[in-house]
Parts: sequence; structure tokens; C-alpha cells
Amino acid sequence: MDNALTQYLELFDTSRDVIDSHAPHAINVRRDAAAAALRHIGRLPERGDEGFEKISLNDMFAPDYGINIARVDFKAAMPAEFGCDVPNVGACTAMVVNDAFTPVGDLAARLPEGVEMMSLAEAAQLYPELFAEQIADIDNPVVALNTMFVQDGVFIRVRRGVRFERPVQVLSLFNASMPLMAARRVLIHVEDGAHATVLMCDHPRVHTVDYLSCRVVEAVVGRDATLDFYDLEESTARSRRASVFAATQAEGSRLNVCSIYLNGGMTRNEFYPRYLDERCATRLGGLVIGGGSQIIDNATYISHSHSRCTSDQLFKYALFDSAQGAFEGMVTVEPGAEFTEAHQVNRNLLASAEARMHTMPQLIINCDEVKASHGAATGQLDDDALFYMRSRGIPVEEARMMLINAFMTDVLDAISLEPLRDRLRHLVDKRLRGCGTGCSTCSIK
Amino acid sequence: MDQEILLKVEDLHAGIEGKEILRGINLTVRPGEVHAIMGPNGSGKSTFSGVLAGNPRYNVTGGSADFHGLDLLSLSPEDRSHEGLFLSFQYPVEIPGVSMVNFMRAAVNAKRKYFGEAPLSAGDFLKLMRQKRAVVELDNKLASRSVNEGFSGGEKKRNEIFQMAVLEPRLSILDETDSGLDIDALRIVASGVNKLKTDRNATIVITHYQRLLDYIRPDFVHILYKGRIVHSGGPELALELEEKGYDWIKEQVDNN
Repeated sequence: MDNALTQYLELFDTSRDVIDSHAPHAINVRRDAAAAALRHIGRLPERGDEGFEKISLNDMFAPDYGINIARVDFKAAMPAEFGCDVPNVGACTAMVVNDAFTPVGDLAARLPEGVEMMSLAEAAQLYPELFAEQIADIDNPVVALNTMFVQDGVFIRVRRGVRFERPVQVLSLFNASMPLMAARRVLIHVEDGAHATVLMCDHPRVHTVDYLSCRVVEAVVGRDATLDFYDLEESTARSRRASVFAATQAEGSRLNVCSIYLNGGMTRNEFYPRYLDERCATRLGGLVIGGGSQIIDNATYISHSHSRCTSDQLFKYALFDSAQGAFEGMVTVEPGAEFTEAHQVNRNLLASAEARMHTMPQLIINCDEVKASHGAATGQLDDDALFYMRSRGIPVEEARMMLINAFMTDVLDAISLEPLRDRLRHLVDKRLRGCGTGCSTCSIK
Repeated sequence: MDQEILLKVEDLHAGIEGKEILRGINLTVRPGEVHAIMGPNGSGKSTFSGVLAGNPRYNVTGGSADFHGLDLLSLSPEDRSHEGLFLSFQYPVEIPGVSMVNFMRAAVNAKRKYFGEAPLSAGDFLKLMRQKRAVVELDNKLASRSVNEGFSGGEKKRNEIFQMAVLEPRLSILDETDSGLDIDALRIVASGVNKLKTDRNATIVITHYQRLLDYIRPDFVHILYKGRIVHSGGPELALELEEKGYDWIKEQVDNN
């Protein structure tokens, strides 16, 4: 396989001026470091490299995708009213069409005082100081690729002390008739004592074109602030997604992430929460329903660098057909991080003989006074439970569905907003019943 | 006369993983009857109930079972249930994450669908649940819990009879329903079974001990040993077993 990185570096070198001319200075100044990091790495990780058991980033990025660096307006091709009622909980919604921020309806009017949601490019001009520090690690190839090409995205801020209970929703769509890569970027600031709920939905627009989403989400969670971040992917077999979620947490902050994969082609999600101080709490939840020849890979990295922080991870996969899944989790407890509590669980259900799962939960403890556990289990449906249900007249397919649903249910329990939880449960149920591809509750009217 | 036969098992052979356990069972059950099947450990009692209910773990290697005119052994477990067969499990299975309400709704509506009826409305379903819970004094709180999860031994068995009350089977097989029950729970479970008894349905009670038969009076008692019914009689046979144990039966069979 050719080195996929070459074409991106060449494009960057030849088109740097065009890229910069369509993006603000605060974003442009980061590109050199990103390009330098990639030149230094030399190649993208391939299958078999450490931490890349199932997915080759090189293969993912190798096809000749277009990148819309000249910012041709694709929005015009969008139907006027694209509705996604995934949450149906009165969300303030914006779309990201390919990589361009597009407010939905009277977004600005619906946002209460102290809550901002706008184009990332606009925010970079208004608040360049918030872009001085990059949360995600520039040495990460996905972050570096994204940083090299990013021109727009979403900025969300909840000001100090504002507790905004309703979710803000970001609908990411692809809308292009030729293969396209989008460098999507999201920056979330939840200031001290504030609360935010962010729901991201990834959807396709066209089912017959190859798309690659190279996405970086950065979150700054302030002192005693909380961020609930829910991420739903429901795209097509021709979609590729490489996503990095990176967050910093100040003292006493809470971060609750729930990543739900219902459909796609090849997906890799990486999670990097980072503690800046004591008493932080992090929950990472993952739910994967894979079928066909889908490949889904989740990787988490948590370093307990401060004392009295708790991290809790629960990732569950149900794999059908010849789907492949991977989970790699790394929890490190640094010296001095006393009274750390760290738990990591990965459970997987293989619903067919051809489905495969790779799991590697890892825990390194360099400190006493720590409560930590990790575990993984991969198995099949419980035959006794299946027979019990059938003996009560529940048809075998229905019984299987109910058992898989039951297996998944505790991941969704962590979603604190009840209507949203019910809605997502419904979507999971629908997916298990095989109601077509694409989120059928999102209707393009 | 044939029309009045609910279940006719003839020369039934079955086993598990190549090992033969049932070696030619014959049994005829008519509506309104209560049959008790007793026998020492390992005689094949639970295998017999499992085979009748269609547990895929067992292989049927010979014989037949006619269930009110249907070839029982060719039906799926779910269709056996729809057609009126019910097995009360010796060890009811815990299903974390599936609530009792959803479980019962799925069961009730699957049966309705099988007979071409529309699903029950939410109101009618809850009414049905309330009525049937009363039969075994099952606590309302259990309805919102996961199926059998965290239930006490007594609650699990009462839950079985509750399900039986909801599904209104024509033939109920109670597999060691008395095991793990204290005397109060036993009384409640037995009285539930008796309340559900009509002259249209029948019950097969599988048990080790005579104790349960004080509460559920059998019309016939059969002794299962080494995969065959080796002795049949009236209720007095159970008392005789209680007094003398199984050894005299074993001797009789083993010496012939």
C-alpha cells in the first residue's frame, strides 16, 4: 500500500494559500506545526501497528478524496428544511454540511443568555484567545491531518455558572456527489460551574458516495462544570470516520461521554480526557451495533495524573454478520494520584460465527491507595434465556432482539436526559430490528 | 374417544450429546387430569419436560408425541406455547435488562398474533396483569424488575405460575415446582395451580417428594426410572413411595 500521507502533504504544500485564505488567522497559525508533526511521523498507522488491531488509518485515508479547500458552497444543494428529530427534546440545532457550519431555524434566538453556538471560523475571529491552546495532541495523526485542513466547524460555549439543561445538537451531514473528505472540528467551552449537554449526530446525505470524516472534538470543562457529550453515528457502508475526542477537566469537573455507533463503514474513535486538577470525574460509555462488513474501533486513554479523580468506562459491542470490532483502553495511575478510582469494562456479544472482536483493557498502576479494576468478556447469547423466552411464546428473533437490547441497556442508562435516553433507546431498538440503513427518524422532506 | 386425548406420548426416545436418557416413554393425558411423575435423581424427569417443551439442548431419537392432533415434536418451542403447552421451570432463568412487563407483553402479543388477533391495548394488558398477579399474590413491584433477577426462590416459582395464569395453557408441566419453596410459598403456589385447574386443561406435576401432592391432588402417579415409566397407579402410589422409598422399584426393574 502506498503511503497515503504523501498526497495530503503535497496538497497542503501546493494549496496552503487557498486554505489560509478561507480561514481565520487563529486557525491558520496551527497548520505548520501539524504538517511538521506529520512529516516527522512519516506514515499513517497501519493494521498491526500497536493500538491498531483492526483498522489501518493509511487505508482509510488512501483513496483520492476531494477536499473542499476553495469552499464551494454545498449548502445550496441542501433541501431547505432538513429535519432530524433524534432527540425531539427541543434542541438548539446546527448543521455541519461537509465541514461548513449552518444554523438551523432561528438558532440565535433560541439560545438563552450565556450560551453560544456558532461557526468555528467566526469564533476564531471573535475570540482568538480561546484558540491559543490546542487541547488535542498535535502529534496524533488524525489531529494533525485535521489541523492542516480545517477551515470551519462548530464552537459551543456555556458561560460561567450557566446551567443549560436542554441539549445543543450538531447534525453532521455529507452532501456531495463525489468522494469527499471533511476536516470537521468542534470546540466546546463549559466554563466554571456551568453545564452543557451536546448531542452530535453523524448522518449521510447520499448513500452511494465515499465520504471520510476526519473529526476532532475538543472540550474544555471548567471548575465544577459538567459536560454531557452524546455522539451518534448512523451513516452508510461507504462512510469512513476517524475521530478524536480530547478534553481537559478542571478541578471538580464532570465529563460524561456516550458514543453510539449504529451504522457506518469503517470507524475509529479515540478518547483522551485529561485531568488538570483533583476531584474530576469521567464516564466514557460506548455502544456499538455492527453488521455487514463494518469495522468499528474504539480506543481510550486516561491518565490519572491527579488525586481523587474517578474514571468509569463501559463499552459494549453487539456484532452481527462479519462485523469486526476492537476496543483498546489504557488507564494509567501516575505516582501521587492517590484515592484514584478507575474502572474499565468491555463486554461483547458475537451474534454470528463470522463476527470478530479484539479487546485489550489495560491498567497500569504506579500509586498506592487506588481502587481500580478492568475486565473484558466476549460471548454469545445465553441459550437458557433464549429458550425460556421461546417457551413463553416469544418468537426466536424477537427473543434475540430483546436479549441484545437488554445487554446494551446499561450503557444508555448513563444518559441523564430522559427524553433523549428514550429516543436513543428507540433508535437502538430500531437498528436491531434492521429497519434499513440511515436514521429513519431524520427525514429529508 | 381419541378426541378427548390431550397428549399422547408413544415410545419416546431422547438424549443429550449422544447419551440416551429417555428410553421409550408412553403417557396419555386427558383434559381435566392431573398426572404426577415421580422418580429418583437422574431418572429423566427434567429431560422429559424439556423434550416436551422443545428445549433444543435435547435430541429426540425416536417415538412420537401427539398434542391435541398436532405433531408436537415438529413444532418450535414458541408454537408449542401458543398451542397451549406450558413448562414451569425447575430453575427459572434470570434475564437482566428485560423487564417483566416487556417480557409478558411480548409473550401475550406473540400468542395473539399467532391466532390472528390484534395486540392488547396498554390498558387491557395492565388489567390482565393485575388480575393474574392476584392468583399467586405476586407483588406489583416485581413487574418493573428484570425477569427473575433478584427474585427469591419463592418469588421465582410464583412468577412461573403467574405466567401460567396469563398464558392459560391447555397442558401445564410443573417441573420440581416445590424445590426451594418453604411451606407458605408452597401453599400459595399450589393454590394458584388449583385455581387455574378446569375440566378443559391438564397438569403434569414432576416431583421428587410426595409433599407437593398433598396440595395438588394427582389422579395418576407414574414412576420414571432409567428413562421409562416403570410403574403407574393412583394417588396411593405416591404415599407408598414416601413410605418405602424408590429402592423396591429399582430392585423390581433391575432384577427383571
